[in-house]
Amino acid sequence: MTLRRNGPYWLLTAGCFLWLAAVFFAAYARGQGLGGFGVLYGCFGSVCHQIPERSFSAFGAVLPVCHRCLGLYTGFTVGLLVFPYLHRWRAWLLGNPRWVLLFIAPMFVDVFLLPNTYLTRYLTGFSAAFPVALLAWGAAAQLFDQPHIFPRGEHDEQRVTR
Amino acid sequence: MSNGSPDKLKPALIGGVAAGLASSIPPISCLNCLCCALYIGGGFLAAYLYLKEAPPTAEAPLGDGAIVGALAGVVTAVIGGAVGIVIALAFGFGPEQMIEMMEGFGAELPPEARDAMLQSGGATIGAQLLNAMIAGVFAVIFSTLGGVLGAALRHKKAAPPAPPTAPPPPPTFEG
Repeated sequence: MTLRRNGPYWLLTAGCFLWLAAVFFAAYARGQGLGGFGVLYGCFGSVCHQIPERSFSAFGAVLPVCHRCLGLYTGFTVGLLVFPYLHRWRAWLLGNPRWVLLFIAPMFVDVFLLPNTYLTRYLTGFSAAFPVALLAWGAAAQLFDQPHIFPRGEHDEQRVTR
Repeated sequence: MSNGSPDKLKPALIGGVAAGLASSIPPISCLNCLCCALYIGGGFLAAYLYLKEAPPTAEAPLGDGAIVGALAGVVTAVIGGAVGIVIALAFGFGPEQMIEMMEGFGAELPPEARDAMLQSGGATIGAQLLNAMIAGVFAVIFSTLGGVLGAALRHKKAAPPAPPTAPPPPPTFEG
């Protein structure tokens, strides 16, 4: 599989940054007393328990997602940014995608077995999402190679070979 | 990507209906607070069922998994929204009950989230439609990721092509 940093890759990366920006903007708006942040808290509330004791604070307000969710989001984003430079690891993981379980397993151990802390919650979330970013990039690359789904553009020369 | 691959719609329907029903029945729907477990699970199930019938491939069909997962997410959004509206209208399960239930589980909602839930307007059809649309966007995103994960984990690797065998030596004629 040839992975390129082309349109779908940058779209995926931009989406991740927007997502993270929405998380921090909600806290900023709440901390500064701006309006409209309740909607963002409500949106994230449908995918996160938002328990304040289990969430980081920023800008004088509790973030709208918990430690683990923030770890998942940042892990995915960092994975997208870092994997283009990890050529060997990328090739190995794409050839053996079941090994992502090794990265996800600590999160389940942390959820169900261990008395967890904010650090373990964040780090195990980060670890679980980090390799999934590569799989998402791989999926986008496969879809992009199908001309009937995404017509191939002329500006995809920035190529990252394995 | 595989040509002549099995039908994507049937596994997407199964995964989507399962996740949609689970995420619209109030006590079970709380599982979505665990990193969207139900949405991811729906996409994962769809990709898993899809690849059960797919032929082995050299590389994991992540793109196919993403498509099946996204389809399952759309089904989840439609089923979840429809069933959620029916439940809300029939039993009056509005935001107050949801807040009560979440606080019953020990969750302490931030005041803004609490206000947003309350302002979402009880069991009116408009509010339920808005909630369903927001949940639908999340369903498609996370179900697609679940589909990619399912494709990665269920992938059947094709055996590497056999090395070319040397042709048999020509017969020798003696005498």
